[in-house]
Amino acid sequence: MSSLSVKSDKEISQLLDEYGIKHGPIVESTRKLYEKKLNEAMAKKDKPSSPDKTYYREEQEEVEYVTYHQPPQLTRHEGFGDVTRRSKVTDADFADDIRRSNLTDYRDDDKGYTNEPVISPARSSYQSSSRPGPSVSTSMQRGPSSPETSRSGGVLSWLRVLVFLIIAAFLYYVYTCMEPAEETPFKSVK
Amino acid sequence: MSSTSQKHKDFVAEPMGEKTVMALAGIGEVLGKRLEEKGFDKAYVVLGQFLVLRKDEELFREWLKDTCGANTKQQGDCYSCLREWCDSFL
Repeated sequence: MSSLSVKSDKEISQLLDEYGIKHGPIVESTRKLYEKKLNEAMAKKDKPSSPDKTYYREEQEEVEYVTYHQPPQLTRHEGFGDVTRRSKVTDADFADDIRRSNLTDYRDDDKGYTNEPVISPARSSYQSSSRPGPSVSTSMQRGPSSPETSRSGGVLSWLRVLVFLIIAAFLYYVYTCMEPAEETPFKSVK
Repeated sequence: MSSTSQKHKDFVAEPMGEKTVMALAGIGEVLGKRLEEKGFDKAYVVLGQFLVLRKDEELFREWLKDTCGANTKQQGDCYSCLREWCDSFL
């Protein structure tokens, strides 16, 4: 893009309108300010990725993982307890997932597992889900399905907190209802 | 809302006439000197800039920051001072 300083006042005015920047007349004392604003606006527009989009992409990948992976093979004899569900991934899936996921920082985790080249954001969601129970996985699936993630991250986090509280309350209720543990559980042999 | 300073009250009470730029709320000696160096030696010149920026808060704040390095509070004080003066006298 050519330097803004060679443009006429009228052109600057038109550019400001294009970027939707409110402005007054382009006079000597205001020109520098508007050039600066235009430079910032142009730099902003050139950047394709923003944190919100990345976040949304993560959510998207979680969705893709849920819908895409129909387990073709059930290999239960893996040594990894949490990972059994995801061991059904084939190499073809792996290639697709890797192409889809641009999150390089997660790949380091993948190297520890020979068979588990899975999308890590989804994996972390499943990892957390396999421990507390199935209810969390459904909540995780519910999360990405909301398209408002990119726009209102606050709503999503509020929703997560609410879900967490509900689960915590439920677990507490279960705990209180449990009978006290016996001191000698193995009483059968007498 | 923060209350207005004495400087603000003094400025908006009467037409600015030939008051120096340091009479503006938020503009002290240091900022005033910088503005004078850039050619804004009287309060009415800054008023002129304020009006040319269509009395827009964001634009005026940014301009002030770029021209003399005013911080957020100083920008706000100067803006509200000029705006209130305009409400009364313009």
